[in-house]
Amino acid sequence: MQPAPLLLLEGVRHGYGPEGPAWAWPHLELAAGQSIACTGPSGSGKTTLLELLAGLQTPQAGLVACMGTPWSTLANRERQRKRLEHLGLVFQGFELLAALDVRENVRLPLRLLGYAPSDFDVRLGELLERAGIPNLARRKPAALSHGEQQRVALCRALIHKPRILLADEPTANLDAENAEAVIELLLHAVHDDGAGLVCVTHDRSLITRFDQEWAVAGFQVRAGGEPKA
Amino acid sequence: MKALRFLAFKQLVHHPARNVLVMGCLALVVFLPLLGGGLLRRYDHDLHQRANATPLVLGKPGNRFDLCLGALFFRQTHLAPLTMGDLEPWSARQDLVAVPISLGATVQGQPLVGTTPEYFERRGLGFAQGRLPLKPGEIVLGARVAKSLGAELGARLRSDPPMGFGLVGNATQVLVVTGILQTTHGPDDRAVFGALQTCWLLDGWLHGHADAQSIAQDHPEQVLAKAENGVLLSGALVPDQDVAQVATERLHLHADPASLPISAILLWPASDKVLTIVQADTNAQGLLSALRPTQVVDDLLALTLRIKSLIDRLIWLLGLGMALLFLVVCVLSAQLRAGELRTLARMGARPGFATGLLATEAALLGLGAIAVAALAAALALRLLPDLVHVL
Repeated sequence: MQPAPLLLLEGVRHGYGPEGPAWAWPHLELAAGQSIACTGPSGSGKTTLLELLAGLQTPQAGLVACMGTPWSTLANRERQRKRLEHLGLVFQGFELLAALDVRENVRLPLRLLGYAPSDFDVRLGELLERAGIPNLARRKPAALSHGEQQRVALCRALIHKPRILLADEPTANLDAENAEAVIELLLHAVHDDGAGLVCVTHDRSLITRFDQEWAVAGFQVRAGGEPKA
Repeated sequence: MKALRFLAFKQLVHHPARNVLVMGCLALVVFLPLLGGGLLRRYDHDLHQRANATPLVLGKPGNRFDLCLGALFFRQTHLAPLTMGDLEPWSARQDLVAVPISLGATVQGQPLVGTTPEYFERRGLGFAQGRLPLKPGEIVLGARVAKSLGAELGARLRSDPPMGFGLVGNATQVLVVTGILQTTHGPDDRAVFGALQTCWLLDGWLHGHADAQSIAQDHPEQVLAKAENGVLLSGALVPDQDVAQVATERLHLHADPASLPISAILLWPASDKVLTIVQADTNAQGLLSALRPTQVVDDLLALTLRIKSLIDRLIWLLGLGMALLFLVVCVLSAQLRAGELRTLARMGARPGFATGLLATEAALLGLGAIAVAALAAALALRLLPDLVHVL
């Protein structure tokens, strides 16, 4: 029997209000160890798609399932717990907590899960090392550059080894070097930990690094192609 | 819960100045009623303890609160004076003990209480050092006075000059410390005790003449003329009056001893029956006022409690205003941090986590304010002088 995909989107129609445009996405799925680049022009619905996949929005019609369980069948508390446990989210604006230093920001999901953060010190050290920011552990977000903040946000999404990674334009506003480092971190989690990744990006030069591309345009998604060179 | 407490603490520490200010404002609202209540409880305790130990006070009719606070706590008030003549019939009685009190003079800012040895016996005052003041010019210090002045046995303390600028004003006197009392945690700790004659001496009723020959030797420039049996000294000479240097037999009055003033008489009747009869008879005659300190203290406290309840209501209003302001601060803080709180929800924090976080921050601020207020109130109660002493 084939294992359920990490994320499954089936016959989804979604829009903002009765007068607004409605997206129609017939079938999309993300498997373990798969990396997907989600591309499309601004306003085409990439972020909405990501939020539907993360269970942050409920589609007007159709099904979105996470690891075999439709988000809509879960109570609010269960949905939050599932997202916290199995999803690693990277937001467009980093969204680090200003009161916490780098180390504490990265450990945040562990605290929310009720784990003792000190049990993950080795993983924390590895992640910061891999992200190239081991010397920034005690700094507050306000003292970091955009690139550094984005790396911290990535480490935060990865610290608890989530099965699914959803990243919303993680390379926006970053120079080529920082963008490359960020993508490298994400793909490392896919290859080493077997996570599934959906990454929204505008950067055509990075798309070839992913297994597949979801091109969002005209309220449709065209899934397919083998972008990897 | 750990995550909530951790994040709340971090948030509070992230804005120390703002949160210390908010905590200070909250603490002030808690501190005021705590301090007021504490002071009033202490006031109540001190007044009742002293009043219960003093069955009856006699004085000239007038303000009963002044008479009671003056006779029991040596508060500096202008009591209409009694005379030694008023004391005589009470001293002659076998069914009570009458102790005169003379107030008015001060030594180094502390009240000088003129009285008789019976006072020390009735109050159960023990001596840490020394003995009773037996002669005019000898004094005994209460424990706190001795400590604050750093005075020891044999110390010579100058009395304070009397108020006003009367031409016949009396010079100050050098008084000798013959004893230091044990601590009583009452008003006796804050007083200086002497014989009645010492008070009369300071008031100018009693005096002695220094030896003119010795003054002439020490201050030859003040000698106007010499005669066979004496010297004529300049009127400008105002030598220090050191009563300890004057032989007691040289001290004398130029008045009827029965007319010498005292401030009040403390009575210890042998029984409740005697007390009731003495009070009723005395008040019926109307020449003197006989007060039961416990009743006066109850009336005084009832008045004080009425004032306190009014102040408490004002503090409640102030607290309500502060609570509303605090609410506004919390709401504004939540608005400013809406992005962060949304992030926590999107990451998967349980429902209500953001509200819980804000509530925990508010609770930590509130608890901190209560702790600061309690500490400050305890410190203030320790450092502030007794209300009885101040009011």
